[in-house]
Amino acid sequence: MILAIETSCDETAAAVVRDGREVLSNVVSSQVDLHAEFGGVVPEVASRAHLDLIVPVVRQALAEADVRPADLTAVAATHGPGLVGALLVGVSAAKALSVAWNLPYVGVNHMEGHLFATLLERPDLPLPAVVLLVSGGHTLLVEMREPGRYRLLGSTVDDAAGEAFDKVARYLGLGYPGGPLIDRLAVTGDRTAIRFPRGLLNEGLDFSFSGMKTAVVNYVRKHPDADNADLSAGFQEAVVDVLVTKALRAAESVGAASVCLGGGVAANSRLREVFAERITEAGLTALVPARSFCTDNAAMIAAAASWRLANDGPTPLDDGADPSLRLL
Amino acid sequence: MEPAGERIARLGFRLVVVLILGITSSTARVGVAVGRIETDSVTVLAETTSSDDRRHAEDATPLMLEALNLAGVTVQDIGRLAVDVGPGRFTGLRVGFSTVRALAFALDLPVTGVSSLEVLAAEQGPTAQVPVASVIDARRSEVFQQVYGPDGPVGPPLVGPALDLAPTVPGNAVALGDGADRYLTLYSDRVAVVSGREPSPSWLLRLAAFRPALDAANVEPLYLRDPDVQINIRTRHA
Ligand SMILES: [Zn+2]
Repeated sequence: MILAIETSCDETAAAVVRDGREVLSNVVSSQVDLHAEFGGVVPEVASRAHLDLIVPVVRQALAEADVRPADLTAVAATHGPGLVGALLVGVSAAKALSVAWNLPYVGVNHMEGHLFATLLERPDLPLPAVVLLVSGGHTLLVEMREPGRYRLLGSTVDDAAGEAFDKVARYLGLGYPGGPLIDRLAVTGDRTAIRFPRGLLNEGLDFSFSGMKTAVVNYVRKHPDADNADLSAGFQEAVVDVLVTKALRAAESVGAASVCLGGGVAANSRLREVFAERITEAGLTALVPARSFCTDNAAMIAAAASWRLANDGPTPLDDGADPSLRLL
Repeated sequence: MEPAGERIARLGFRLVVVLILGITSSTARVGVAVGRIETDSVTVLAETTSSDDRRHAEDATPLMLEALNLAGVTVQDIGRLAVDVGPGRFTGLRVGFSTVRALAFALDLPVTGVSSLEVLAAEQGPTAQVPVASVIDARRSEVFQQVYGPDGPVGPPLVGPALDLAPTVPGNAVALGDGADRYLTLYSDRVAVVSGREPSPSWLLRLAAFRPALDAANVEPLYLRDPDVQINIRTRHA
Protein backbone atom coordinates (compact mmCIF):
# COMPACT_ATOMS: atom_id res chain seq x y z
CA MET A 1 0.00 0.00 0.00
CA ILE A 2 1.61 3.21 -1.19
CA LEU A 3 1.02 6.80 -0.10
CA ALA A 4 1.83 9.11 -3.02
CA ILE A 5 2.13 12.88 -3.22
CA GLU A 6 1.79 15.04 -6.34
CA THR A 7 2.74 18.75 -6.32
CA SER A 8 4.19 19.35 -9.79
CA CYS A 9 1.95 22.24 -10.78
CA ASP A 10 -1.18 23.73 -9.25
CA GLU A 11 -2.85 20.73 -7.63
CA THR A 12 -1.80 19.52 -4.20
CA ALA A 13 -2.67 15.84 -4.21
CA ALA A 14 -2.21 12.72 -2.11
CA ALA A 15 -3.54 9.20 -2.56
CA VAL A 16 -3.34 5.74 -1.08
CA VAL A 17 -3.30 2.87 -3.57
CA ARG A 18 -3.15 -0.85 -2.80
CA ASP A 19 -1.21 -3.23 -5.08
CA GLY A 20 -0.71 -0.48 -7.66
CA ARG A 21 -4.33 -0.54 -8.76
CA GLU A 22 -6.87 -0.35 -5.97
CA VAL A 23 -7.45 3.33 -5.18
CA LEU A 24 -8.33 3.68 -1.50
CA SER A 25 -8.25 7.47 -1.53
CA ASN A 26 -7.51 10.15 -4.10
CA VAL A 27 -7.48 13.66 -2.62
CA VAL A 28 -6.86 16.65 -4.88
CA SER A 29 -6.83 20.23 -3.63
CA SER A 30 -6.90 22.52 -6.63
CA GLN A 31 -5.38 25.97 -6.44
CA VAL A 32 -7.07 27.07 -9.65
CA ASP A 33 -8.93 29.91 -7.90
CA LEU A 34 -5.66 31.27 -6.51
CA HIS A 35 -4.20 31.58 -9.99
CA ALA A 36 -7.31 32.68 -11.91
CA GLU A 37 -6.77 36.37 -11.14
CA PHE A 38 -3.32 36.17 -12.75
CA GLY A 39 -4.52 34.32 -15.86
CA GLY A 40 -2.01 31.51 -15.39
CA VAL A 41 -0.07 29.56 -12.80
CA VAL A 42 2.23 31.79 -10.75
CA PRO A 43 5.06 29.51 -9.53
CA GLU A 44 5.68 31.31 -6.23
CA VAL A 45 1.97 31.42 -5.43
CA ALA A 46 1.71 27.70 -6.24
CA SER A 47 4.70 26.80 -4.06
CA ARG A 48 3.38 28.73 -1.08
CA ALA A 49 -0.02 27.08 -1.41
CA HIS A 50 1.53 23.59 -1.70
CA LEU A 51 3.40 24.16 1.55
CA ASP A 52 0.18 25.09 3.36
CA LEU A 53 -1.86 22.26 1.85
CA ILE A 54 0.56 19.36 1.86
CA VAL A 55 0.01 18.06 5.39
CA PRO A 56 -3.79 18.56 5.42
CA VAL A 57 -4.06 16.75 2.06
CA VAL A 58 -1.87 13.84 3.20
CA ARG A 59 -3.82 13.59 6.45
CA GLN A 60 -7.08 13.46 4.52
CA ALA A 61 -5.77 10.83 2.09
CA LEU A 62 -4.82 8.55 4.99
CA ALA A 63 -8.11 9.19 6.76
CA GLU A 64 -10.26 8.51 3.68
CA ALA A 65 -8.33 5.33 2.97
CA ASP A 66 -8.69 4.45 6.64
CA VAL A 67 -5.07 3.28 6.86
CA ARG A 68 -2.41 3.83 9.46
CA PRO A 69 1.22 4.56 8.61
CA ALA A 70 2.04 1.02 9.77
CA ASP A 71 -0.07 -0.33 6.87
CA LEU A 72 2.02 1.49 4.23
CA THR A 73 4.86 -0.07 2.23
CA ALA A 74 6.32 3.09 0.66
CA VAL A 75 5.95 6.85 0.31
CA ALA A 76 6.17 8.28 -3.22
CA ALA A 77 6.25 11.75 -4.73
CA THR A 78 6.41 13.29 -8.20
CA HIS A 79 10.03 14.45 -8.68
CA GLY A 80 9.61 15.96 -12.15
CA PRO A 81 8.84 17.37 -14.60
CA GLY A 82 7.06 20.47 -13.28
CA LEU A 83 7.62 23.70 -11.41
CA VAL A 84 10.74 23.16 -9.35
CA GLY A 85 9.59 25.10 -6.28
CA ALA A 86 6.32 23.19 -6.29
CA LEU A 87 7.95 19.79 -6.79
CA LEU A 88 10.34 20.37 -3.87
CA VAL A 89 7.48 20.70 -1.39
CA GLY A 90 6.14 17.25 -2.23
CA VAL A 91 9.54 15.60 -2.54
CA SER A 92 10.72 17.01 0.81
CA ALA A 93 7.54 15.99 2.59
CA ALA A 94 7.61 12.47 1.11
CA LYS A 95 11.23 11.94 2.08
CA ALA A 96 10.58 13.17 5.64
CA LEU A 97 7.54 10.87 5.94
CA SER A 98 9.57 7.93 4.66
CA VAL A 99 12.26 8.59 7.31
CA ALA A 100 9.71 9.11 10.10
CA TRP A 101 7.84 5.91 9.24
CA ASN A 102 10.89 3.93 8.19
CA LEU A 103 9.59 3.28 4.68
CA PRO A 104 11.24 3.35 1.24
CA TYR A 105 10.90 6.56 -0.79
CA VAL A 106 10.03 6.43 -4.49
CA GLY A 107 10.48 9.42 -6.83
CA VAL A 108 8.09 9.22 -9.78
CA ASN A 109 8.14 10.83 -13.23
CA HIS A 110 4.89 12.78 -13.58
CA MET A 111 4.47 11.70 -17.22
CA GLU A 112 4.87 8.05 -16.30
CA GLY A 113 2.15 8.69 -13.73
CA HIS A 114 -0.18 9.81 -16.51
CA LEU A 115 0.62 6.62 -18.45
CA PHE A 116 -0.17 4.53 -15.39
CA ALA A 117 -3.50 6.32 -14.97
CA THR A 118 -4.72 4.20 -17.88
CA LEU A 119 -3.64 0.97 -16.18
CA LEU A 120 -5.20 2.13 -12.94
CA GLU A 121 -8.54 2.11 -14.66
CA ARG A 122 -7.93 -0.89 -16.95
CA PRO A 123 -5.27 -3.24 -15.47
CA ASP A 124 -5.95 -5.62 -18.40
CA LEU A 125 -5.46 -2.90 -21.04
CA PRO A 126 -4.61 -4.57 -24.39
CA LEU A 127 -0.97 -3.73 -25.20
CA PRO A 128 0.78 -2.22 -27.01
CA ALA A 129 -1.15 0.96 -26.36
CA VAL A 130 -0.82 4.44 -27.76
CA VAL A 131 -1.45 7.15 -25.16
CA LEU A 132 -2.42 10.66 -26.16
CA LEU A 133 -1.24 12.90 -23.31
CA VAL A 134 -2.67 16.40 -23.56
CA SER A 135 -2.29 19.11 -20.96
CA GLY A 136 -1.29 22.71 -20.44
CA GLY A 137 2.37 21.76 -20.65
CA HIS A 138 2.46 18.74 -22.95
CA THR A 139 0.99 17.25 -26.08
CA LEU A 140 2.50 13.81 -26.58
CA LEU A 141 1.80 10.59 -28.38
CA VAL A 142 3.51 7.77 -26.52
CA GLU A 143 3.67 4.11 -27.38
CA MET A 144 3.46 1.91 -24.28
CA ARG A 145 4.60 -1.58 -25.22
CA GLU A 146 4.44 -2.57 -21.57
CA PRO A 147 4.89 -0.69 -18.29
CA GLY A 148 8.36 0.86 -18.30
CA ARG A 149 8.82 0.51 -22.09
CA TYR A 150 7.80 3.68 -23.86
CA ARG A 151 8.51 5.32 -27.18
CA LEU A 152 7.76 8.91 -28.12
CA LEU A 153 5.82 8.96 -31.39
CA GLY A 154 4.95 12.64 -31.65
CA SER A 155 4.82 15.91 -29.76
CA THR A 156 3.97 19.55 -30.29
CA VAL A 157 6.35 21.74 -32.24
CA ASP A 158 5.04 24.90 -30.56
CA ASP A 159 2.21 25.32 -28.03
CA ALA A 160 0.73 22.52 -25.96
CA ALA A 161 -2.97 21.87 -26.55
CA GLY A 162 -3.98 23.21 -23.15
CA GLU A 163 -1.84 26.28 -23.70
CA ALA A 164 -3.69 26.94 -26.97
CA PHE A 165 -7.02 26.70 -25.12
CA ASP A 166 -5.75 29.16 -22.51
CA LYS A 167 -4.48 31.63 -25.09
CA VAL A 168 -7.67 31.56 -27.15
CA ALA A 169 -9.81 31.89 -24.02
CA ARG A 170 -7.75 34.87 -22.91
CA TYR A 171 -8.03 36.44 -26.36
CA LEU A 172 -11.80 35.99 -26.35
CA GLY A 173 -11.95 37.48 -22.86
CA LEU A 174 -13.38 34.30 -21.34
CA GLY A 175 -10.94 34.05 -18.42
CA TYR A 176 -8.76 31.33 -16.99
CA PRO A 177 -8.34 28.37 -17.14
CA GLY A 178 -9.28 28.28 -20.81
CA GLY A 179 -10.06 24.61 -21.38
CA PRO A 180 -13.13 24.23 -19.17
CA LEU A 181 -14.46 27.69 -20.20
CA ILE A 182 -14.22 26.94 -23.93
CA ASP A 183 -15.65 23.48 -23.36
CA ARG A 184 -18.70 24.92 -21.60
CA LEU A 185 -19.27 27.74 -24.08
CA ALA A 186 -18.79 25.47 -27.11
CA VAL A 187 -21.81 23.41 -26.09
CA THR A 188 -24.04 26.37 -26.97
CA GLY A 189 -22.18 27.19 -30.20
CA ASP A 190 -22.28 25.74 -33.73
CA ARG A 191 -19.09 23.77 -34.32
CA THR A 192 -19.57 23.86 -38.09
CA ALA A 193 -20.18 27.61 -38.32
CA ILE A 194 -16.49 28.50 -38.54
CA ARG A 195 -13.95 26.07 -39.90
CA PHE A 196 -10.49 26.75 -38.55
CA PRO A 197 -7.37 25.26 -40.16
CA ARG A 198 -6.04 22.01 -38.71
CA GLY A 199 -2.30 22.41 -38.10
CA LEU A 200 -0.18 19.63 -39.66
CA LEU A 201 -3.31 17.47 -39.98
CA ASN A 202 -2.01 15.41 -42.88
CA GLU A 203 1.64 15.32 -41.89
CA GLY A 204 3.23 12.86 -39.49
CA LEU A 205 2.58 12.59 -35.78
CA ASP A 206 3.71 15.99 -34.51
CA PHE A 207 1.31 18.76 -33.53
CA SER A 208 1.21 22.49 -34.12
CA PHE A 209 -1.34 24.69 -32.37
CA SER A 210 0.05 28.20 -32.61
CA GLY A 211 -1.26 28.66 -36.16
CA MET A 212 -4.72 27.63 -35.03
CA LYS A 213 -4.67 30.25 -32.28
CA THR A 214 -3.54 32.86 -34.84
CA ALA A 215 -6.38 31.80 -37.12
CA VAL A 216 -8.87 32.62 -34.35
CA VAL A 217 -7.26 36.03 -33.85
CA ASN A 218 -7.36 36.77 -37.59
CA TYR A 219 -10.96 35.62 -37.87
CA VAL A 220 -12.07 37.90 -35.04
CA ARG A 221 -10.25 40.85 -36.62
CA LYS A 222 -12.16 40.28 -39.83
CA HIS A 223 -15.45 39.47 -38.09
CA PRO A 224 -15.60 41.54 -34.92
CA ASP A 225 -19.21 40.45 -34.34
CA ALA A 226 -18.42 36.74 -34.38
CA ASP A 227 -20.16 34.82 -31.64
CA ASN A 228 -17.83 33.60 -28.88
CA ALA A 229 -19.77 30.34 -28.61
CA ASP A 230 -19.30 29.61 -32.33
CA LEU A 231 -15.64 30.63 -32.14
CA SER A 232 -15.12 28.35 -29.13
CA ALA A 233 -16.94 25.45 -30.75
CA GLY A 234 -15.08 25.85 -34.06
CA PHE A 235 -11.67 26.15 -32.41
CA GLN A 236 -12.31 23.22 -30.09
CA GLU A 237 -13.49 21.12 -33.03
CA ALA A 238 -10.27 21.84 -34.93
CA VAL A 239 -8.06 20.94 -31.93
CA VAL A 240 -10.02 17.76 -31.22
CA ASP A 241 -9.92 16.73 -34.89
CA VAL A 242 -6.13 17.06 -35.00
CA LEU A 243 -5.61 15.26 -31.70
CA VAL A 244 -7.81 12.30 -32.56
CA THR A 245 -6.61 12.02 -36.17
CA LYS A 246 -3.01 11.83 -35.03
CA ALA A 247 -3.76 9.41 -32.21
CA LEU A 248 -5.41 7.09 -34.75
CA ARG A 249 -2.54 7.48 -37.20
CA ALA A 250 -0.06 6.70 -34.41
CA ALA A 251 -2.04 3.62 -33.40
CA GLU A 252 -2.07 2.37 -36.99
CA SER A 253 1.64 3.05 -37.45
CA VAL A 254 2.66 0.87 -34.48
CA GLY A 255 -0.16 -1.65 -34.65
CA ALA A 256 -1.54 -0.66 -31.25
CA ALA A 257 -4.30 -2.71 -29.68
CA SER A 258 -5.67 0.18 -27.68
CA VAL A 259 -5.59 3.95 -27.63
CA CYS A 260 -5.82 5.90 -24.36
CA LEU A 261 -6.40 9.46 -23.36
CA GLY A 262 -4.66 11.27 -20.49
CA GLY A 263 -3.69 14.69 -19.13
CA GLY A 264 -5.75 17.68 -18.06
CA VAL A 265 -7.13 18.40 -21.54
CA ALA A 266 -8.53 14.86 -21.54
CA ALA A 267 -11.24 16.31 -19.31
CA ASN A 268 -12.61 18.13 -22.40
CA SER A 269 -16.03 16.68 -23.13
CA ARG A 270 -15.86 17.01 -26.93
CA LEU A 271 -12.43 15.37 -27.03
CA ARG A 272 -13.70 12.47 -24.91
CA GLU A 273 -16.69 12.01 -27.18
CA VAL A 274 -14.88 12.17 -30.54
CA PHE A 275 -11.92 10.14 -29.27
CA ALA A 276 -14.10 7.23 -28.08
CA GLU A 277 -16.21 7.34 -31.25
CA ARG A 278 -13.44 7.37 -33.84
CA ILE A 279 -11.08 4.96 -32.06
CA THR A 280 -13.88 2.44 -31.60
CA GLU A 281 -14.97 2.88 -35.24
CA ALA A 282 -11.43 1.95 -36.23
CA GLY A 283 -11.82 -1.35 -34.38
CA LEU A 284 -9.46 -0.48 -31.53
CA THR A 285 -10.01 -0.39 -27.78
CA ALA A 286 -10.53 3.21 -26.69
CA LEU A 287 -9.78 4.04 -23.07
CA VAL A 288 -11.03 7.35 -21.77
CA PRO A 289 -10.26 7.30 -18.02
CA ALA A 290 -12.47 9.09 -15.52
CA ARG A 291 -11.74 12.80 -15.43
CA SER A 292 -10.27 12.46 -11.93
CA PHE A 293 -7.56 10.15 -13.31
CA CYS A 294 -6.86 12.31 -16.39
CA THR A 295 -6.19 15.55 -14.55
CA ASP A 296 -3.24 15.67 -12.17
CA ASN A 297 -3.73 13.33 -9.23
CA ALA A 298 -1.63 11.28 -6.85
CA ALA A 299 -3.34 7.91 -7.44
CA MET A 300 -1.56 7.66 -10.80
CA ILE A 301 1.72 8.52 -9.04
CA ALA A 302 1.13 5.72 -6.55
CA ALA A 303 0.38 3.29 -9.39
CA ALA A 304 3.63 4.19 -11.19
CA ALA A 305 5.53 4.09 -7.88
CA SER A 306 4.32 0.60 -7.16
CA TRP A 307 5.71 -0.62 -10.49
CA ARG A 308 8.97 1.36 -10.13
CA LEU A 309 9.53 0.11 -6.59
CA ALA A 310 9.09 -3.50 -7.70
CA ASN A 311 11.36 -3.07 -10.73
CA ASP A 312 13.99 -0.50 -9.73
CA GLY A 313 13.78 -0.46 -5.93
CA PRO A 314 13.60 2.66 -3.76
CA THR A 315 14.91 6.07 -4.80
CA PRO A 316 17.94 7.31 -2.80
CA LEU A 317 17.14 10.01 -0.25
CA ASP A 318 19.65 12.42 -1.83
CA ASP A 319 17.50 12.53 -4.96
CA GLY A 320 15.94 15.98 -5.45
CA ALA A 321 13.56 17.26 -8.10
CA ASP A 322 14.18 17.81 -11.79
CA PRO A 323 11.86 20.38 -13.42
CA SER A 324 12.69 19.10 -16.91
CA LEU A 325 12.85 15.39 -16.13
CA ARG A 326 12.33 13.33 -19.27
CA LEU A 327 10.56 10.05 -19.68
CA LEU A 328 11.69 9.26 -23.20
CA MET B 1 13.49 34.57 34.87
CA GLU B 2 10.89 32.01 35.79
CA PRO B 3 12.13 28.72 37.28
CA ALA B 4 13.00 26.07 34.75
CA GLY B 5 10.49 23.62 36.18
CA GLU B 6 7.66 26.01 35.48
CA ARG B 7 8.94 26.59 31.98
CA ILE B 8 8.93 22.91 31.27
CA ALA B 9 5.45 22.58 32.77
CA ARG B 10 4.22 25.47 30.64
CA LEU B 11 5.60 23.75 27.55
CA GLY B 12 3.49 20.79 28.48
CA PHE B 13 6.27 18.26 28.87
CA ARG B 14 6.18 15.67 31.57
CA LEU B 15 9.73 14.52 30.88
CA VAL B 16 12.54 16.83 31.82
CA VAL B 17 14.77 15.53 29.07
CA VAL B 18 13.59 16.09 25.51
CA LEU B 19 15.47 15.62 22.26
CA ILE B 20 15.06 18.42 19.74
CA LEU B 21 15.85 18.44 16.02
CA GLY B 22 16.19 21.69 14.11
CA ILE B 23 16.62 22.62 10.45
CA THR B 24 17.97 25.84 8.95
CA SER B 25 17.40 26.38 5.23
CA SER B 26 17.00 30.07 4.47
CA THR B 27 20.42 30.60 2.87
CA ALA B 28 22.60 28.72 0.37
CA ARG B 29 23.36 26.07 2.99
CA VAL B 30 21.00 23.74 4.74
CA GLY B 31 21.81 22.59 8.27
CA VAL B 32 20.46 20.16 10.84
CA ALA B 33 21.20 19.94 14.55
CA VAL B 34 20.08 17.50 17.22
CA GLY B 35 20.15 18.53 20.87
CA ARG B 36 19.07 17.46 24.32
CA ILE B 37 16.98 19.82 26.43
CA GLU B 38 17.40 19.30 30.15
CA THR B 39 15.85 21.19 33.03
CA ASP B 40 17.49 24.51 32.25
CA SER B 41 20.02 23.81 29.56
CA VAL B 42 20.29 22.58 26.01
CA THR B 43 23.22 20.50 24.78
CA VAL B 44 23.88 20.24 21.06
CA LEU B 45 24.65 16.57 20.31
CA ALA B 46 25.31 16.86 16.59
CA GLU B 47 25.27 19.38 13.79
CA THR B 48 25.54 18.80 10.04
CA THR B 49 25.68 21.45 7.34
CA SER B 50 25.70 21.18 3.56
CA SER B 51 28.34 22.77 1.42
CA ASP B 52 27.32 26.01 -0.25
CA ASP B 53 25.64 24.26 -3.15
CA ARG B 54 21.99 25.26 -2.94
CA ARG B 55 20.90 21.65 -3.16
CA HIS B 56 18.50 21.86 -0.23
CA ALA B 57 16.06 19.25 -1.50
CA GLU B 58 18.85 16.75 -2.14
CA ASP B 59 20.72 17.45 1.09
CA ALA B 60 18.11 18.02 3.80
CA THR B 61 17.04 14.41 4.45
CA PRO B 62 20.54 12.84 4.29
CA LEU B 63 21.87 15.60 6.59
CA MET B 64 19.08 14.88 9.03
CA LEU B 65 19.90 11.17 9.06
CA GLU B 66 23.58 11.98 9.50
CA ALA B 67 22.88 14.31 12.43
CA LEU B 68 20.66 11.72 14.10
CA ASN B 69 23.32 9.10 13.56
CA LEU B 70 26.07 11.31 14.98
CA ALA B 71 23.90 12.04 18.00
CA GLY B 72 23.31 8.32 18.44
CA VAL B 73 19.52 8.60 18.35
CA THR B 74 16.71 7.79 15.93
CA VAL B 75 14.10 10.14 14.56
CA GLN B 76 11.49 8.33 16.66
CA ASP B 77 13.36 9.50 19.80
CA ILE B 78 12.85 13.16 18.90
CA GLY B 79 10.36 15.02 21.08
CA ARG B 80 10.37 18.48 19.54
CA LEU B 81 11.21 20.22 16.30
CA ALA B 82 12.65 23.61 15.47
CA VAL B 83 12.71 25.42 12.17
CA ASP B 84 14.31 28.53 10.81
CA VAL B 85 11.26 30.45 9.52
CA GLY B 86 13.28 32.85 7.38
CA PRO B 87 13.40 35.36 5.90
CA GLY B 88 15.63 34.05 3.13
CA ARG B 89 15.50 32.02 -0.04
CA PHE B 90 11.90 31.01 -0.62
CA THR B 91 12.72 27.67 -2.21
CA GLY B 92 15.24 26.70 0.45
CA LEU B 93 12.87 27.70 3.24
CA ARG B 94 10.14 25.55 1.82
CA VAL B 95 12.39 22.49 1.80
CA GLY B 96 13.05 23.03 5.52
CA PHE B 97 9.40 23.75 6.27
CA SER B 98 8.01 20.89 4.23
CA THR B 99 10.44 18.51 5.95
CA VAL B 100 9.61 19.82 9.43
CA ARG B 101 5.86 19.91 8.86
CA ALA B 102 5.88 16.35 7.51
CA LEU B 103 7.96 15.15 10.47
CA ALA B 104 5.67 16.96 12.88
CA PHE B 105 2.65 15.27 11.31
CA ALA B 106 4.21 11.81 11.10
CA LEU B 107 5.64 11.80 14.61
CA ASP B 108 3.03 14.07 16.24
CA LEU B 109 5.59 16.63 17.40
CA PRO B 110 5.31 20.32 18.26
CA VAL B 111 7.42 22.90 16.43
CA THR B 112 9.17 26.11 17.45
CA GLY B 113 9.99 28.62 14.73
CA VAL B 114 12.82 31.14 15.02
CA SER B 115 13.74 33.91 12.60
CA SER B 116 16.90 33.37 10.56
CA LEU B 117 17.91 36.95 11.41
CA GLU B 118 17.65 36.21 15.12
CA VAL B 119 19.66 32.98 14.79
CA LEU B 120 22.42 34.93 13.07
CA ALA B 121 22.42 37.65 15.74
CA ALA B 122 22.36 35.19 18.65
CA GLU B 123 25.53 33.44 17.54
CA GLN B 124 27.37 36.77 17.54
CA GLY B 125 25.82 37.92 20.84
CA PRO B 126 24.66 41.54 20.58
CA THR B 127 25.60 43.90 23.41
CA ALA B 128 24.66 47.47 24.23
CA GLN B 129 28.06 48.60 23.00
CA VAL B 130 28.03 46.43 19.87
CA PRO B 131 24.59 45.68 18.41
CA VAL B 132 24.32 43.15 15.59
CA ALA B 133 22.80 43.81 12.17
CA SER B 134 21.72 40.52 10.61
CA VAL B 135 21.58 40.86 6.83
CA ILE B 136 20.31 38.11 4.51
CA ASP B 137 20.47 38.28 0.74
CA ALA B 138 17.01 38.81 -0.78
CA ARG B 139 18.21 38.92 -4.43
CA ARG B 140 17.37 41.68 -6.92
CA SER B 141 19.82 43.98 -5.07
CA GLU B 142 17.71 43.69 -1.92
CA VAL B 143 18.37 42.37 1.58
CA PHE B 144 16.41 41.29 4.63
CA GLN B 145 17.79 43.17 7.61
CA GLN B 146 17.16 43.46 11.33
CA VAL B 147 19.22 45.01 14.11
CA TYR B 148 19.53 43.26 17.49
CA GLY B 149 20.59 44.67 20.87
CA PRO B 150 21.09 42.83 24.14
CA ASP B 151 17.34 42.84 24.83
CA GLY B 152 16.25 41.60 21.44
CA PRO B 153 15.36 43.18 18.11
CA VAL B 154 15.64 46.93 17.63
CA GLY B 155 12.80 47.47 15.19
CA PRO B 156 11.10 45.05 12.81
CA PRO B 157 12.70 42.94 10.09
CA LEU B 158 13.04 44.99 6.92
CA VAL B 159 13.28 44.14 3.25
CA GLY B 160 14.60 46.60 0.73
CA PRO B 161 17.52 47.66 -1.44
CA ALA B 162 20.88 47.09 0.28
CA LEU B 163 21.73 50.59 -0.87
CA ASP B 164 18.92 51.99 1.31
CA LEU B 165 19.14 49.64 4.29
CA ALA B 166 22.92 49.55 4.85
CA PRO B 167 23.00 53.24 5.88
CA THR B 168 20.36 52.59 8.58
CA VAL B 169 22.66 50.24 10.56
CA PRO B 170 23.93 51.97 13.75
CA GLY B 171 27.58 52.96 13.47
CA ASN B 172 28.66 50.88 16.47
CA ALA B 173 27.10 47.65 15.15
CA VAL B 174 28.66 44.67 13.43
CA ALA B 175 26.92 43.42 10.29
CA LEU B 176 26.83 39.76 9.31
CA GLY B 177 25.06 37.28 7.09
CA ASP B 178 25.19 36.47 3.38
CA GLY B 179 23.58 39.83 2.57
CA ALA B 180 26.38 41.70 4.32
CA ASP B 181 28.88 39.50 2.45
CA ARG B 182 27.26 40.12 -0.90
CA TYR B 183 27.03 43.89 -0.45
CA LEU B 184 30.27 44.05 1.51
CA THR B 185 31.38 47.48 0.36
CA LEU B 186 28.00 49.03 1.25
CA TYR B 187 28.20 47.63 4.79
CA SER B 188 31.94 47.81 5.46
CA ASP B 189 31.87 51.51 4.51
CA ARG B 190 29.88 52.06 7.65
CA VAL B 191 30.35 49.22 10.16
CA ALA B 192 32.54 46.20 10.90
CA VAL B 193 31.47 43.12 8.93
CA VAL B 194 31.93 39.58 10.23
CA SER B 195 32.02 37.57 7.03
CA GLY B 196 31.00 33.99 6.26
CA ARG B 197 28.13 33.73 8.75
CA GLU B 198 25.10 31.55 8.03
CA PRO B 199 22.18 30.83 10.39
CA SER B 200 23.55 28.00 12.52
CA PRO B 201 21.31 25.03 13.33
CA SER B 202 22.94 24.75 16.78
CA TRP B 203 21.99 28.33 17.58
CA LEU B 204 18.50 27.63 16.26
CA LEU B 205 18.21 24.87 18.89
CA ARG B 206 19.58 27.08 21.66
CA LEU B 207 16.97 29.74 20.91
CA ALA B 208 14.09 27.33 20.33
CA ALA B 209 14.70 25.10 23.36
CA PHE B 210 12.93 27.27 25.94
CA ARG B 211 10.27 28.85 23.78
CA PRO B 212 6.73 27.60 23.28
CA ALA B 213 6.37 24.75 20.84
CA LEU B 214 3.26 24.96 18.69
CA ASP B 215 1.18 22.86 16.37
CA ALA B 216 3.16 22.82 13.09
CA ALA B 217 0.35 24.46 11.11
CA ASN B 218 0.71 27.53 13.35
CA VAL B 219 4.39 28.00 12.55
CA GLU B 220 4.57 29.94 9.30
CA PRO B 221 7.37 30.96 6.97
CA LEU B 222 8.39 34.60 7.19
CA TYR B 223 8.47 35.54 3.50
CA LEU B 224 8.38 39.33 4.03
CA ARG B 225 7.73 39.76 0.33
CA ASP B 226 4.73 39.07 -1.88
CA PRO B 227 5.16 36.51 -4.65
CA ASP B 228 6.51 37.72 -7.96
CA VAL B 229 3.65 37.48 -10.36
CA GLN B 230 5.30 35.78 -13.23
CA ILE B 231 3.09 33.52 -15.27
CA ASN B 232 4.69 30.28 -16.22
CA ILE B 233 2.29 29.08 -18.84
CA ARG B 234 4.79 26.80 -20.60
CA THR B 235 5.23 24.64 -17.57
CA ARG B 236 1.59 24.59 -16.65
CA HIS B 237 0.61 21.05 -16.78
CA ALA B 238 -2.89 19.94 -15.97
ZN1 LIG C 1 -0.06 16.27 -15.57
